[in-house]
Amino acid sequence: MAITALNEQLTLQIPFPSPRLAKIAADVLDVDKDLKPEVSRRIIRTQDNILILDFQTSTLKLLRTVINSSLEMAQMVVNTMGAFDTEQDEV
Amino acid sequence: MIALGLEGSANKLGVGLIKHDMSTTPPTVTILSNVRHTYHPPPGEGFLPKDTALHHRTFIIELIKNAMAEANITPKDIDVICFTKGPGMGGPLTSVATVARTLALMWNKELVGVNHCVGHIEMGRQITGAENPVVLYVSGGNTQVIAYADKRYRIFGEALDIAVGNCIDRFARVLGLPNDPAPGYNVEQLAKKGSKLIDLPYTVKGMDVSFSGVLSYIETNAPALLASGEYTEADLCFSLQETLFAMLVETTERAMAHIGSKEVLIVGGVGCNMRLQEMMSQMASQRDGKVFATDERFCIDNGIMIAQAGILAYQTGYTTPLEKTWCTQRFRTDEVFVAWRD
Repeated sequence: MAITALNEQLTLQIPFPSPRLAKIAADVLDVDKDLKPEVSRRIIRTQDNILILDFQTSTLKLLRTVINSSLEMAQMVVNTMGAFDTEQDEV
Repeated sequence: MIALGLEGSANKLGVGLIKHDMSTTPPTVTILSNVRHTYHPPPGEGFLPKDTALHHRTFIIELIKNAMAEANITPKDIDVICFTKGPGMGGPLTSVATVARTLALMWNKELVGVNHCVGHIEMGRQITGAENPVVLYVSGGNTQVIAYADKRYRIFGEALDIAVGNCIDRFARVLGLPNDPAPGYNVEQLAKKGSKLIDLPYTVKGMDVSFSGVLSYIETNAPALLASGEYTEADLCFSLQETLFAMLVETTERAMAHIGSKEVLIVGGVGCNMRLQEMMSQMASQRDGKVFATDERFCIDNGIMIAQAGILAYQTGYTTPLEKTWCTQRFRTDEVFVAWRD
């Protein structure tokens, strides 16, 4: 298969209330691997309380699509944390 | 021991909490809560993965809160979080699994990924008390005749193309019947008023069945049959149900004869159809057998069945490590090792 250059890229930085929650979000999202790594790659990491998502894709259209779906899932994670985090109770 | 079950493989979003009191043998099972929210597309349309996923993401938080409130428990009381790993639609499955993972990490709980079909079977067994039945699993996405043997739910026969519920639902679209509460329910009600039987293609191949031919036939011919004034919409619904269910009864009977079982357990959304239950009962009584079925709370997709199948696996020491909690659209019933049965 021809090697496609991953020319399009974008980095998202999403701040969380604590490094713990940022790490949880990263671990949750990282379970779903790239379906086609040859045309679209996502690298997930955290820096303190910031969740960092690096996207690299072959086309702009694909970039939009993968960012969209990642944001939808990130939003789901954030909403779940907002509704059900018990950290405050436990500390 | 308490399990939270999250289900969202199709258009039903379900959350359930189940308790197994381990001080008795077998454990005493209590259903603490079982709540559901269904996505209904407009009449004439089916549910699309993207819209269904959005529905689940919109309602899941509220539904989990309701389930916890109804059960009157806090996160501390929960031992394990169970979610549907597959089969089903990718987007909806992953949306729900994402919530399950987040909860598990925040609350420090174990996760169990559950096969949707096994969830139906285990819930049906729990509710009805059927010992070792032939299972007919009929829904909008699956049609399988199943029997347990040697730690697996073995598929004796299945639909070669579309599922029986899909066939009924798509015919409901032809007639423009509402999707609320379910297209199949509305076909069932209309069929009660029908009496004229039309000869429709009947396709049983060995233990397998095929529904796409009968659907094409009735879709193509419905407008002319109705225009002729000779047949009503009710007659068409009646004829479709009689034909489809006869195929299911035939294959189920053959499976019963093969394994020598006198019990049939009907699970899945189409399993609430009273006409299917009636036809199956007639067959079973001729064989001195018995039909076990549940009502819509447990037949139609729900969270409690995922909690039930998950907690049974969890009790044998099974958990799904986080990195393996991805979802899969294809996940056959016989892939699951049934460690909890003899």
